[in-house]
Order: sequence, then structure tokens, then C-alpha cells
Amino acid sequence: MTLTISFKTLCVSMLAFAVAATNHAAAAPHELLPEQAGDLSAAQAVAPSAGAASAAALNIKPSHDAVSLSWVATGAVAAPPAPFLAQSKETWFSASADDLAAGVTLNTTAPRALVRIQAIGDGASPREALAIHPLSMTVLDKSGRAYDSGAGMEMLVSADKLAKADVPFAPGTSAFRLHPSLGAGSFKLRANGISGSNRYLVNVVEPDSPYTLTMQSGALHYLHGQQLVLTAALQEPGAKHAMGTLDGYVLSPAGRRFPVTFKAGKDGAMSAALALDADETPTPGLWEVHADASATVKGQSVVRSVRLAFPVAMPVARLTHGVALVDGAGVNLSVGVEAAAAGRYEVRGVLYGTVNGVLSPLGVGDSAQWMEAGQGKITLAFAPELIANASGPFEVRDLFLMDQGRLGVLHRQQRALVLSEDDVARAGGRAVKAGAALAPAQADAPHVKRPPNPQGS
Amino acid sequence: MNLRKRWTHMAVLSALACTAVLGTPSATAGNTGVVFVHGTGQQTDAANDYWTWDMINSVRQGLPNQNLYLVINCDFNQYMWTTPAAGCLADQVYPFIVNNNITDLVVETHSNGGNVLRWILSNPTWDSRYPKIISSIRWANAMAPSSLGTPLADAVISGNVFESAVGWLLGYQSDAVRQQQQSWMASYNASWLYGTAGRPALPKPFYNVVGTDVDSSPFDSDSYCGGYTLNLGLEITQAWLDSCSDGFINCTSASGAGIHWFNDKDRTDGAEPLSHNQSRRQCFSLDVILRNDI
Repeated sequence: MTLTISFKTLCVSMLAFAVAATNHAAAAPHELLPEQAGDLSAAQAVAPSAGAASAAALNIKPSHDAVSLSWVATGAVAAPPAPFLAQSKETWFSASADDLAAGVTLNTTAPRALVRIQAIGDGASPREALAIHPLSMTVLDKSGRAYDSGAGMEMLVSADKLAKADVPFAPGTSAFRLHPSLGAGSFKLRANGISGSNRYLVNVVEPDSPYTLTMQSGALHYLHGQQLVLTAALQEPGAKHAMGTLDGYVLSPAGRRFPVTFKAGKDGAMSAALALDADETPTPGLWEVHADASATVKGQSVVRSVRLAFPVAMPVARLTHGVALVDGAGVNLSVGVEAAAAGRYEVRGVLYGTVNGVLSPLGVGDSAQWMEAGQGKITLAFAPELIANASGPFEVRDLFLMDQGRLGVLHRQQRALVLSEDDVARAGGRAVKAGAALAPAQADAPHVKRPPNPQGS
Repeated sequence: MNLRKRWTHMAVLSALACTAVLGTPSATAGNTGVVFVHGTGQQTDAANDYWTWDMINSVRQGLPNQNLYLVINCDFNQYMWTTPAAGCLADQVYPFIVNNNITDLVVETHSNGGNVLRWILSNPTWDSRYPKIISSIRWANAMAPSSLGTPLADAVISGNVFESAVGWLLGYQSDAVRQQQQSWMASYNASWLYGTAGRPALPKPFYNVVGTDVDSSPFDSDSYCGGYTLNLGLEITQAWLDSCSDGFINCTSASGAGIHWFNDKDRTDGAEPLSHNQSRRQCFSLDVILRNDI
């Protein structure tokens, strides 16, 4: 145990020294390639005005050890994915016990809508005690016909049964589906035997509805000061529908709320923009847009609510665009980093090389170290095994600069660097061909995963 | 080569040699071990409360030395990267590996436990112990991992968001549930996490096992494996989910990262589906499948 820890410490120390030492080693200077559409970068490193982010507040204890690892990864890597498309076929609203006793409107556009009632209460009563059993609710159709005691419903689940499902719905949550025989349209939901100001969340989900509210951000990642662009549409297969209203706001992780105004575009979608101000108390989590839409389509009322998350980081550090190929086996890149605040910074990327005449992914490199504010370098090392069966030209793609302590993506570049075979050879990249990479387990382990057998393995 | 340059070169090679030692199994024969990583929640006795001893005792029969198993107990209500989550996992796995000379580790994860492990696999430089842990892993078997999130997490959080919005924040929050919302996982999968479609491969194989349905008929004894009431609740949760789901995770999410190993019905006894709660229990010979995989 002692020996192992000592050896580990030695390794980490040596890595740290190597990272520092390579700053002075023979190095061929290069420049990162010009950025292209979809890349993320900061024009300058900016320290948060509230002071350096407290990692403790984020439940992170950033290590001060320099750590580096690379591994073989030859599978195809796609261009950065499109930003997530949030799709909603549901809505939610709040109602008091008095409201529910009088009856609240449920607008549905397809049969078998799911209705969830979650007790919120007033903070004084246990929510379990406020739960409403589906059997004590009445559904009234458009003609005023009442369906009591579970009639008009299917798949009733009381709060105690839902709680036992190990699904983390809040206590006091019950649910049911409208019976398919009721069809779609406008209904009243009435809760019997309750009154007062206790609040309830009413969530109506329509899995079978053709109408979907979509929301998408214009980019995968944002930095403080950049312009968030949001695009929303009410869609059914093959068509977009105009929305009567679309109201929304952006919520930061620290809880600051920024109203956004959606405007109709030419293609039937609506869009909004917001200059992002991420200079706030460090708080874990992502930013979100929340929006509610209403529309009338073919005489039907369609209401939808949607939420969408996206990351926004303070650009506390940036790549200087200077990079040097350092002497040593494999490909060792000393990447210039400018930090406006101390932190644990990470550079990661995918090395491509030429295999059978085709530029192909070879492996992933990842290096991180603690840096004080100022100029520094992080050595991104790709082990010699990764290039053993490839030749130049090489490329570093999907290059990231990450802020591990504040969980920020600070730089992402799809094509970052091109190196020739001569570049790598001159740097001694071919000098050592013995193991420095984390080889794929399939190659070095005696175990072979069994393929799926028929039943009764 | 002058002295400084020679020393620098030596340091680089030494560092790479260290990486090599950290990155490949020891030359001396080591041991095989198995680790059970629970899902969302704060566990203090996951062997009893989450997996059940029947499950653990059955699976570990596949080990050459049946004592070399570890049941993780961490706070996976936290975000996957936090000290109480991935940090805690490393706190428990690292000494297990070192003290028992484990060089061939099979990791069995369930649900969000797969995300926490994938965090470590995807972020090897976060912590100096991570490379050692990664290099010791043979492969991970991720039962019903929420790799692409789940609409149920969105539904759960929607209620809490609403409470926040109306100012009655009553404390029912879980960062782990928040993280498993679909757009949240999409964001993390696009940058911090590897193994999803179009992204670089993880450093070690991450095999997913997919539950495709929930059987909750009171007249079918299969509904009772893992607890009937658990399955009953999961039946309605399917309303939020695709037609292929285990009651908590869509099949697309469970198979969204790593390598697809099998769908429940392709291998379980009687082609029974594994609901989300059954994929961590001794149901329909899942335990035997995992035992034979060691």
C-alpha cells in the first residue's frame, strides 16, 4: 500500500515536472488553425467580478496534481452535434384547492392525456396529507357530463403507490390517464372535498398529440457576453403553426431571471435573443429557458410548456493560439493558456492521422493541471502507440479548454492543428514505440465479451 | 544534447513511463474483482437496500476469489462530478484496487451509477486516482443507464421548478435528478462525457443492458420480482416514456452510450422484461448472466 502510493505520487510528480520542463524543452512553434463556424473561443480571459469561483460552493475539490492520459479511440467522431432540440407535448400550471374544487380546465388535443396532480401546499402541511386521490376527482366533458369515482379515467395511481415506485416525484403526487373513450378536447377537472389556498401543480401530458412545442439554442456552449439565440416552433408532422403567445424567461444557475421576447419569423418559427451575463455567484448547473405557448389550431386550443438547458461559462482562461510540438515520443503539444484566475485547467483533443491514405481518428489525449493567473502552458500528450500505425499528416481535432473547478467549457475548436510526418519525426515522435497509452481493453485483456445468447444463459 | 535538455527529455520519458505503468495492467499477475455501483440516491447499505444480497452473492460466485467484491455506498443525489459522487466512488474503488492488487475489474452499474462511472472514464485527469482506476477496469456493465437522460427527470423537476417559481421551495430537490433531464445530459454528453454517438470512445468498454418493458399484472408472478408495488408505479410512468422503456429510462437512453450488450428479453429467463427496479435485482437470471460475464 505504502509503496504503491509512493509510486503513484512519484508518477504524478514526474508528470508535473515533465509538464513544467517541457516549457523549456526543444519545441517547434505552431499556431492553432483559424476558427470556423460553430467553434467556441474567448477574445480575452476575464476574471469574475465576484472573485474567483469557490470550488467548495460547487462541491468540487480541484486537484493540484498534473495528470495526463491518452488512449486509443479509432471510432468515427462526428462534427459537434447540433444543440439539443427540446420537444414538449405537455403543459403545467398552478391551481389552488379552491380552484380545483370549482374545476380547472384541461385542454387536450389527443385522447388518453396523462394528468399529474402534485401537492405544493403552503409550507405548513405535509404534502402527503394534501395528496388528492384520483378516485376523489371528477372529470366533466364538454357537454357537462360528469365522470366520478374513477369513471373517465384509467391507470389511476395514488400518491402512496407512486411513492413506492422509487421514482422521485415529490410527496403528494398522484396521477391518472383520461379514458380513451372520452376522446380529446376541453375538460373540467374537479377535486371533491377540498378547499382553501393550498397550491397544486397540474401537469397535463399528451403523448399521442400531434402538436409539439420545440425550443433550441443557437449553439452548444456559450461564454459570458455572448448572444444567446433561441428558436421555438409549434409543430405537427409536416407543418408549423403560428402561436398566439409565447412567453418565456432565462434562468441562471444562481437564480437570476432574464425575460426574453420572442418574435415571429418568416418560417413560422419564433426567435429571441439575449446578451448573456454570467458574472454571478458560482452555482453548479446549467442555464435554462422556460417558456409557455398557446395557440389555436383547427379550432382546438393548444397549450404547451417547455424548458431547455444550455451551458454558459465565464471565460476565466483562453487558449493563446500558440502551440509547440515538444521533443519526445508520440505527439506532445505544449498548448499556450492565458488564465485570468487561478484554477485547474484541462486541455483535451482527438488526434487524427493518416491510415491507408485516409485521415482517421487515432486516440484521445487529456491533460490537466493547476494554473495561477497569468500565462502558462499545458502539455497535451498523445502516446507513441497512437501513431504507431499511422503517418502524417496529423490533425488535432475537437480541441477543448475546460475549467474543471468551475465546470466551464472555455474553448472548443473542431479543427485545431495540422502536423506533418516530418514535424513529428523531427520532434522524436517515432523514437520510442513502447507502451505509454491506455490501450483498449479488447486488445490487451484475455476476456472476450460474450455475445448475447438466447434466453437461459 | 546539453545537460538541461537531456534532463528535460529524461523527465518526459519518465513521465510517460509512469503513465504507461498507470495505464496498463501490472506485469505481475493480479486479481479479478467486481464492484457494484448503485444509482440515484444516498446509500449507506446498498447491498441490502439497493441490490439485495441475493443478487450480490449470486454474481460474485463468478469471481476466482469471491471475497474480492465491493458494494459502493455514496451520495448519488449529487451531480455526478462532485466529491460526494464521483469523488466518493474513487474514494472507495481506489483502495479496493490497490489493497487487493486488482488488475481486472468488472464494474456493474445501475441507472445513474452508469453516469457517475462514465464521468470518471471520460474525465481521467480530474483526479490523480482516476487513471489507476481506469487502467484496472476490464469493462463496465451498465444496467439501464440513463445515458441520454429521462423525460421522467424533466417531469419531476418541472414540479420543483414550479414550486421555486411561486416561492414555496420546499426542499424536494435532487441535483442528480436535475442532471438526468434530457437537455442537461445532452449538454454534458456533448462536451464532458464520452461514449455517445459521434463522440470519442471511452477508454474502457461500457456495455449497456436495456430494459424494454414493465410487467405489472397482479395475475403474473413475474410482476412481483423486485417488488410488485415498485412495478405498479412504473406502469404509469411509461406514459412519459417511449413505447420501449423500463418504466424510468427510454431504451434509446439506456443504449445511448457505450456498446449495446443485450435487451432484457433477448437473454432473460422466459424472455421477461426487466423493469427499472428489476434490473438491479435477482430477476429472471440477470444475476447468472452477470456472474458468467466475470
